Amino acid sequence: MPEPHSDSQRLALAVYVPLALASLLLALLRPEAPARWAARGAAALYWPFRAVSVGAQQLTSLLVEREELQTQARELARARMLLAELRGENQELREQLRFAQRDTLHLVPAWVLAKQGDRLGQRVLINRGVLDGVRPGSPVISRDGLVGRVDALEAHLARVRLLAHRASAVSARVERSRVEGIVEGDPLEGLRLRFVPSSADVRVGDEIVTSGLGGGFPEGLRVGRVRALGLEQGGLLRRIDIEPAAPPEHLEDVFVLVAPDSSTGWGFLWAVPQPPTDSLAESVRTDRPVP
Amino acid sequence: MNALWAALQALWMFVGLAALGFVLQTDLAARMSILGVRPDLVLAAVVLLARRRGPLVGTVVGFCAGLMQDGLTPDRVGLHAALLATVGYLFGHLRVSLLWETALASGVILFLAAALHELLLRVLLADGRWLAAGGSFLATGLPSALYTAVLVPLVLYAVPRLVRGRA
Repeated sequence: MPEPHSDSQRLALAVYVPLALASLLLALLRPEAPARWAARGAAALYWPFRAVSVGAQQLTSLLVEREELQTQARELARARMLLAELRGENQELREQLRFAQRDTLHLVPAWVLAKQGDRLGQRVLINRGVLDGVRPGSPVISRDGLVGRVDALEAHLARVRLLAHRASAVSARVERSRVEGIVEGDPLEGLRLRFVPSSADVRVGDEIVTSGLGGGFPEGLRVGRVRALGLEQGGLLRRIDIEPAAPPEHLEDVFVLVAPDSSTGWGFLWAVPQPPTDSLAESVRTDRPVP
Repeated sequence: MNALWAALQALWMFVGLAALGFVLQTDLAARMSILGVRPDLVLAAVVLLARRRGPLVGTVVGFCAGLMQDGLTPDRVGLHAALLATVGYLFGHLRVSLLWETALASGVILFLAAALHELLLRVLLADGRWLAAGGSFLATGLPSALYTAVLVPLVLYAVPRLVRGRA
């Protein structure tokens, strides 16, 4: 320890020795009461500094958050402008193409109760009927694509004519090139896209979807994929064989598409001559073909 | 008596400064931690004030700052007060014999003060486990002293010069 040379140094020594000794004694004896006092005193003394420190931290984080929010707001404003622009452009295009606003589709889930086949093709019976909102002509789909359409109804039962039925016809188009035609069914040869000129741009593997023309089916339902190409007799039209998107042999769960208000909505578009329905339930019970 | 009165007058200011040093130590130093090693800003403040005002002020400020640190770790009340008062007293005497004006001398003094403080702290807390205390001193005590000795002179000397140079 340095030698004291002046009054101030002696005073410093006189202050230091008792302070240091008292502090050391406190530290070594470890009494409880001074510890509590020290903790309380420190808390009281530090409170304003701590408050300033915490306030500064909060202010900093608020400023950072404000900056981030301003950035987000600018991005949202830009996105909003872009959205408005796209909406206007979309509206304009729709008007140019004379598109009507498309109604929201309602899906009525159903499952296949029975399958029936005759020389014209296959039909299936499902467990939904007119009291479930199903109407004559309602399209039936599975998760894979278009299945067919309802051609007979009872209260909680409907008969669905599958696409491969000889009486089925669906307006469709090649999704890639938008070449249009009619998909017809044949119980022996499967699905075909017909009335397509031989010069049309169609390739094996192209997706076939409903075109929405004719009002029988909504637009954009998957029908199948081009399996093989050829020429019809005469060579003027293409022969296009289609692999169905929803093969009949795998049908279990299906959905019936109904308009929001089936009585006044698309029902009239899908209305088809209703065949006799009195034997539907009986045909399920006896598993005999429905005429 | 005049010297005692001056010391008491300065006490309030230094208590505030020591409290500010505490805030720096608990908030700022925690953010400046590198691999768990923090600069001891309170000790640096005590040493720098002792340099300016001599051993009496160094003792009082060191004692107050240490007592405040003890308030936050009431397990050993008086420990930091005794250590910082000792550091303030000792390094208040060294002001006349070293060149404080240079950053290097300041860094050396700060390193010695911080190392002495860390060493005494571990000796008093060792409870017979001298090997662990030595390991702790080498692992964290010396790096912390070095960090303090490099950082504080850098801030006190280099930054103001940079600011003046740009102005």
